[in-house]
Amino acid sequence: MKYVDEFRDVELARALGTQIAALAEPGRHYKVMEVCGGHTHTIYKHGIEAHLPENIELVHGPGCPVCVIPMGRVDDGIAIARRPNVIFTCFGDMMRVPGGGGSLLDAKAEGADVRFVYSPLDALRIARENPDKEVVFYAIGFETTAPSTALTLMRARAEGIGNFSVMCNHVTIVPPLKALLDSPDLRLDAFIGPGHVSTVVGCRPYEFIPADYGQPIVVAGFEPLDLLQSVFMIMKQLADGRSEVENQYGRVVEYDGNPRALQVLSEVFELRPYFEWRGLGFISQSALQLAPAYADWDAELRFDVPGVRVADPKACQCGEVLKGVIKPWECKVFGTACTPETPIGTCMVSSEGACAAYYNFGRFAKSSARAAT
Amino acid sequence: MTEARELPVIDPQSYGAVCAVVDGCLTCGDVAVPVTVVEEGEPDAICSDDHGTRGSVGVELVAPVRVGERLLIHGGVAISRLQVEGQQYGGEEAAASATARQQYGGEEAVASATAEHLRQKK
Repeated sequence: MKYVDEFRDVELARALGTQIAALAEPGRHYKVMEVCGGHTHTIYKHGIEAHLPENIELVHGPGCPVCVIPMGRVDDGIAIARRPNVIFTCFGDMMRVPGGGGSLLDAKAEGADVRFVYSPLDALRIARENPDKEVVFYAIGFETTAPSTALTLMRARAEGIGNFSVMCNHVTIVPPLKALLDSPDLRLDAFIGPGHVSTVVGCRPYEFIPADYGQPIVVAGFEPLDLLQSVFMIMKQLADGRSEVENQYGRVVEYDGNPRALQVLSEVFELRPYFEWRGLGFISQSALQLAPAYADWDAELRFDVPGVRVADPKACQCGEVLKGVIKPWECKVFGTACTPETPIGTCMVSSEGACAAYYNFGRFAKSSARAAT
Repeated sequence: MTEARELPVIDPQSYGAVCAVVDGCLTCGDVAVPVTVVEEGEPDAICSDDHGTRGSVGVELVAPVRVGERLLIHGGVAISRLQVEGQQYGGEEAAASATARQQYGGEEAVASATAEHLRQKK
């Protein structure tokens, strides 16, 4: 397929792998975190680690929106979905995330009208077509997704659609990065920056990483060669003793992002004082809520929600996986009690989750590598 | 002989039509889908993905758009335009810097440009 195959050329991947290996100092262990779940997916699917020397470790970060939603917020959504006269809409992956008392899919099986959509604009369309129903959209995602929710709310307001509301769970990327950098659990050498978040926010928000923490960050695309090239750029920076924000994904990402999208976000949303992240705990100013001008479309104000904090299941180690402290296969229930079909933790639900990505692709590479030795 | 079944009709008014990706998180993550504008419009344009599926796309954030332009969409909304020329590139000496200067919508194959670059490096 044109414009895909070019970025998956195995010869080029090998060439890049050789050059990366040449830059890696023997005896030094490099830890590079890919922030974004999309990158985690690419790494396992395409076996990127096979092209890297053993002393470069890719650590999976918290950039999977489904994975970071705490159980209490899932329960809040289910409470709304179970109300009579409500059509509850969400993205597909969200339906399978277990809350304290089952998932949205379970609620649907028990009779709640839960529908999955690919776009909040489709949820708004459902509201237009069902004026006698309350249509709620369960919004999740980082800055990549928040503009679509913002535009939907602006259209709802302009058209005066009163039977539509949004339960906002949008999160922002910089606060968890700061939390990880300040965490004593994890000593990282560099970051692979999220590509599509950066189409919206640009590269400027990451400047604190080299400035305050002295670590390189390279914003990367999602094809295998994009990732390998990003690792090369990181290794080059480390070898040169530089730490900068670099943009490997120049074919899409502008350094200043999309100013119009940022304008829309600032009009519709404001920062929450704090928000709970699965595995990372409460992080201040790390999520978005609807601005007062959009309060009429705020599902949390329109409906009573329990708002109760629910602890993760004891067996689940998603928190450690999300922080990159352990690898997916090091979790006690990985691949046994917790599988994509019957997930216990969020990381096994979304295909961007590190556990699901590893379960679907990586375990075969690992088992065949073991068989070869 | 079995009768050929009709393919399901995809509703072109659906914003989700062109958001379905082959793999990856098709919903909320950092995945975005490259599409081509086939019918201009604002706030919605009709776009086609690389498999030929058409659907509505909210284009307020990148408007105005023209037929043939390549957009990157996420959640039914265009968040970026795929650049055709004049790529930005932050790195100075990356081995395969040509890959970063290419684009999904460009004419030249990335592989050949990158291979050439690597040959020159040798």
